[in-house]
Amino acid sequence: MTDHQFFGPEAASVFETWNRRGFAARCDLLGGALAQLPLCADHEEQSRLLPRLLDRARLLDQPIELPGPTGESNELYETARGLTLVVGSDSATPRALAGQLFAALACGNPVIFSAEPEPEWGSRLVTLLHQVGVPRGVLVCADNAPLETLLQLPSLTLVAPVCRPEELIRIQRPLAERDGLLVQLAAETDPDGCTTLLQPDHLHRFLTEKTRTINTTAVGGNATLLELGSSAP
Amino acid sequence: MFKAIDVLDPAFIEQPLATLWQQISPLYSADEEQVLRELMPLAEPRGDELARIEARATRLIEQVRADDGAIHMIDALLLEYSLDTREGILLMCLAEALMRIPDADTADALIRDKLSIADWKRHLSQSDSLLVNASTWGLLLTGKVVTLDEREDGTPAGIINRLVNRLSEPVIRKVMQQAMKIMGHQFVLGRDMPEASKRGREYRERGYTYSFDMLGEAALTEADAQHYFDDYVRAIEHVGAMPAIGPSPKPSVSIKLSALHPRYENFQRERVMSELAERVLLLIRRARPLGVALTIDAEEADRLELSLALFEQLYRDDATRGWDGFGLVVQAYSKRALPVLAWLAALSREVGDRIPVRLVKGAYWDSEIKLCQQRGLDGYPVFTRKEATDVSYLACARFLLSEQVRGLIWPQFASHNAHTVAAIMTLAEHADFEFQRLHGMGDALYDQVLEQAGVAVRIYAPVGNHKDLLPYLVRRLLENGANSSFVHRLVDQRCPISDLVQHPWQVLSGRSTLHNPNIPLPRDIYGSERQASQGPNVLIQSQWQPFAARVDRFMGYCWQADPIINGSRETGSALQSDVRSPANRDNLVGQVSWAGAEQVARAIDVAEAFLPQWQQSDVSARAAAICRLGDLLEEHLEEFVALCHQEAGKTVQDGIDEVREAVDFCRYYPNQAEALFAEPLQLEQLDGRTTHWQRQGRGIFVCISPWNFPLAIFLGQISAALVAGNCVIAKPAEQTSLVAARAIELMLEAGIPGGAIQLLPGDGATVGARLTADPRIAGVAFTGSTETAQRINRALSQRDGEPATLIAETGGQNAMIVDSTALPEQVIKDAVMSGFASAGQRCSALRILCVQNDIAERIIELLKGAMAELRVGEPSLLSTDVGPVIDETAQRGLLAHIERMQKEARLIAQTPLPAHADKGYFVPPTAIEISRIDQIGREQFGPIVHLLRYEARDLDKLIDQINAAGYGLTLGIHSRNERTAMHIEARARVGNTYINRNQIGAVVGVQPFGGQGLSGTGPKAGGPHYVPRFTRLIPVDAQ
Repeated sequence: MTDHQFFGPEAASVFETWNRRGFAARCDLLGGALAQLPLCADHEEQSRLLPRLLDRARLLDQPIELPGPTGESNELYETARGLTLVVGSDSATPRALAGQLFAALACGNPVIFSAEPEPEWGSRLVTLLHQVGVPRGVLVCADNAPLETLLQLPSLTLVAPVCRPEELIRIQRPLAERDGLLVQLAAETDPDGCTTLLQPDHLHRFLTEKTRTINTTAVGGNATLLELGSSAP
Repeated sequence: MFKAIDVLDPAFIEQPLATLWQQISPLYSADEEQVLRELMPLAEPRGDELARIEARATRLIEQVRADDGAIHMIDALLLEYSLDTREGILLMCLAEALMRIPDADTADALIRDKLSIADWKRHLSQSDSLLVNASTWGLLLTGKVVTLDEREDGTPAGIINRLVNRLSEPVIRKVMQQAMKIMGHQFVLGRDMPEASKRGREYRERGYTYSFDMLGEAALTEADAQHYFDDYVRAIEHVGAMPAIGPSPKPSVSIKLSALHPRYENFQRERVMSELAERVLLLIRRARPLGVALTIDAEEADRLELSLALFEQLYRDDATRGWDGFGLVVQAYSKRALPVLAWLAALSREVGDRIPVRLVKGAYWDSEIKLCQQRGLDGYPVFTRKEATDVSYLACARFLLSEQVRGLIWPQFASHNAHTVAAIMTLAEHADFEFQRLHGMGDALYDQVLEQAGVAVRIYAPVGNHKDLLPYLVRRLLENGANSSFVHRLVDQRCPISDLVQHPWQVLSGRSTLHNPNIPLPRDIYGSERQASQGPNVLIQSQWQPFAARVDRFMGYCWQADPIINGSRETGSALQSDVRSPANRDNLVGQVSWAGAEQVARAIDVAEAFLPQWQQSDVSARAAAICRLGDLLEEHLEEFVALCHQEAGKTVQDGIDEVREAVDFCRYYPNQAEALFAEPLQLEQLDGRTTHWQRQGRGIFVCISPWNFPLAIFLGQISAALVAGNCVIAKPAEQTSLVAARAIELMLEAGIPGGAIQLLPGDGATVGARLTADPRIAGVAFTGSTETAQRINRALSQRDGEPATLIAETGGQNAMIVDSTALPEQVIKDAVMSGFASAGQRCSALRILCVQNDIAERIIELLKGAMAELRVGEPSLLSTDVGPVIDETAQRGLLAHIERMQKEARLIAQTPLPAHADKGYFVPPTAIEISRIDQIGREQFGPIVHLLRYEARDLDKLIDQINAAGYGLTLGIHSRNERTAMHIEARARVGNTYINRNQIGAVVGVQPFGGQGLSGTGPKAGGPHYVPRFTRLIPVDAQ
């Protein structure tokens, strides 16, 4: 199975556009779905969890400016890690699955969503997200594809499962056997309490960091420093 | 400390030259307050000097302002487009780059980039100058036109706008190029000497004379140096043949030593003192019989001592003896300026020939400050306040004008500051001196001086192509265009004269501190958070000599590495190996005892037993111990530099940088941890309850580090894991076990308990595999190859229980993209540094230099020339640029790749190896032109750069190809077009992007380092997300 079977031949440019849209814009868009979330048993918990995730993701738009020598600018920012598989085991809850899905999308990743054990609810959620503007090329349902097959998708960079801790090994081992990049796991192992999703570190697992260093003196000189040279009291 | 006031005692310059020489170097980065306290009494006005200077300066300014022609076009431009406006900076940027761009599309794109984002309208009619207003209209209209195509809405209006834009681009380009030429014309006297002397004739008839400067930046290649040499010869011959004109003294020629030799630097001192000296002597032999005085221009502070040594050698040469036409420039912003002048006066006294000395304020101030901060030096070589430089200038002037110096030095005072000029005229009790000004600046001021002072005025006039002028021009504009500049304020009628005639001694005396509190010392650039690591400046005699002597003491030392378990070295292992230097296999460096299976098991047991205690320990205690380790590393700098030479084959600067990076890790991570662990985290649960969570170390971490940063990465991983509350088992690379063992010894000395850190030197099969198979291991921090990371990942996944954390930093296939707006000389410096420094054995090193086809030939020519100047050899020698690779396996693989590439691609250049190379593992720095990225295959971890041409229109395809390789560690971009640079940066899937600089040497906490894709998992080392990854959050009640 290839990525194209899920996303089509234009996948790369669709992903890139989604990723470059920015955290705040994506969160605004995803926020548009919150009022219409498909009903399920833990609808109320979802309504508490998802806005918090979006609020937290929104903050990631701002690069971190890092101190350093004069005449140089250094910024650290985060960007999508890449193709993400959000998948549930039998113990998964809709709230945790929705949390993982929203986290992955808010962070700019393209997602294959396998909403076991609630596939119908999952399908309705995906339809809703498409309706509010998530590009079809960015979010697709796994359509009953077996987990083993999904774990071998060539472009896979991250798996965000919802399962019990002891179930993780079933995912980790086949991932470790793959060649190429080391596919990351961002698991929620507390399907009811969603304690991992609530933690501040979790969103970073969906992201990769970029550092941008610019020699500002090459384009325009170090006028700031020149000013500092005479402005001190 | 140098007693400045003593220079006024005639006996001072009667001291032996060697004694006076010793006064110079220690002032390189001396305490600024102290230096200035010494200088202040010399600059302090005496008697009625203050009133006389003020009155004279006031008169001068009034006369200048009353002169209708005082504000020349360039002054007006400076006034309107000062560098505190975005438009001013954009204009300068365009001026710097536009003329050298060969292809129309890229030139148009640059014009769009620079003109479309500024607010030109704001400058309309603000100036009285016709040129400025005309330019502003032009820029405004151009800016409007070039932005038309931003509407890509498909409407008829949008389409027409785009058409207008497309049609007008050639016109705009031509207009802009013409405008840049006009700007250049203001600053360059002529494109060649005949044109320059023709244009200068009018000034000479008025009494001015000239010092001609052949335009051009530093030579990177022998061919460039020869070209500049020929220019100087032609200039000397032309000036020699110039007729005398009225009272105008004979013109002279200024020489830039960096233009005459591609390695004019202390690292290549022997070559400078022989090859460069010979070249300057040839010029002296041409100039002297023609009566053309020569002046050596001043350059960066690191070259000062070298330039003085060279000057002395040349000055004492028979070719120069008996001639008073050989001089040099001294920069008053240098803390060493006054002792340099005293030494020169003594030299002149001893030899007997008068030395012309141009006293300037200095043109490299901003880059001096930046360089010192980057290199973690202990201070600045320059004053940090403008008025401090002015004070130094006046102190130097008082000395130069003193009776005992008269006849020894011919002072040439270069300044555009009316107050400085007035002060010189007031201090002078004789007329044995001259003034100097730059061509195109200060005309009105010096017309007055010429009339009133009765001394000569020499104009420093650049001669050469406009293209070569632009970097010079930008430096001058940066120097004079900032709002604070006197030149700027002199012509600004809004600035009260009383502000301009304040004596700098008074101004400085009124400051709260003599140094500039806004410019922190290099060690303080991170504020109160932490101190930056420090290193010596190896180019400064007073720092290099004691440092080298201390390193030397360790060079014959034989180190021993053993497993260290529970704080004890486990000696006496049967498994021992000799360690030999990769630069010379005859050189025994030490022995390593390898850990066996039993020691691996015991190390895990010890760590497991100690874990609860360590996890419960106070984070501040852990942080303090790691910080102490940082201090200890700085104390043992020389030993580690020696070890890095001997065991890892690192060069001098690489060795220093290695220790500095380790120190930075030891100061950065503790801060991070203390902030992270400070307070329990409150989280509202889904059921509405608020719960408290606390960070805790994950457990036992295995740290597996590489040989290419045997101290920095080794300690970076360990210090982050330890300070986060994990027990650590360290497995260093086998090749650099000695460095690792010594570091762990210091770590124990710093107070890290023996139970928290275990050292297991050994190979992957015996040590690594056993560690990663053990279910008690909570995580692995690994830096090395992608393949090894995959093996570790598999091993960890085979264990039952909770998955371990794996933080892996792996390989790269790093590119640098260079478009045709880039400055080729800067590209080459950065590419050579990125590709060949550390023998290319950095994860971040440049592997693929992607060059826009339009400039590829020039880049290749420069690359060849620059590689011919590299020196491969013994890493402990300061003259060595490239040391050995780490071992025979690496050497064989790299040589095999070069051999294959020679068949399948085109060899551009290869640096020769030294005679003794067969004693070590040397690989010649090699550049190869390829036609496709996939020709390279896997990463080649050594001094090999592949060059790939691309067409400007295929830039996005190039980015796609780089992304498709799957690696994503570093990327270099060289472009003056900021939009292009940001577009590449955004599209490239890499961890670290460096724009308009080299792409190596990430600094802890400044440039967090790590890649994506095949290059690593993240989080980035030296970044804010690294320490948290070594922790987990647990409910407070569960602790």
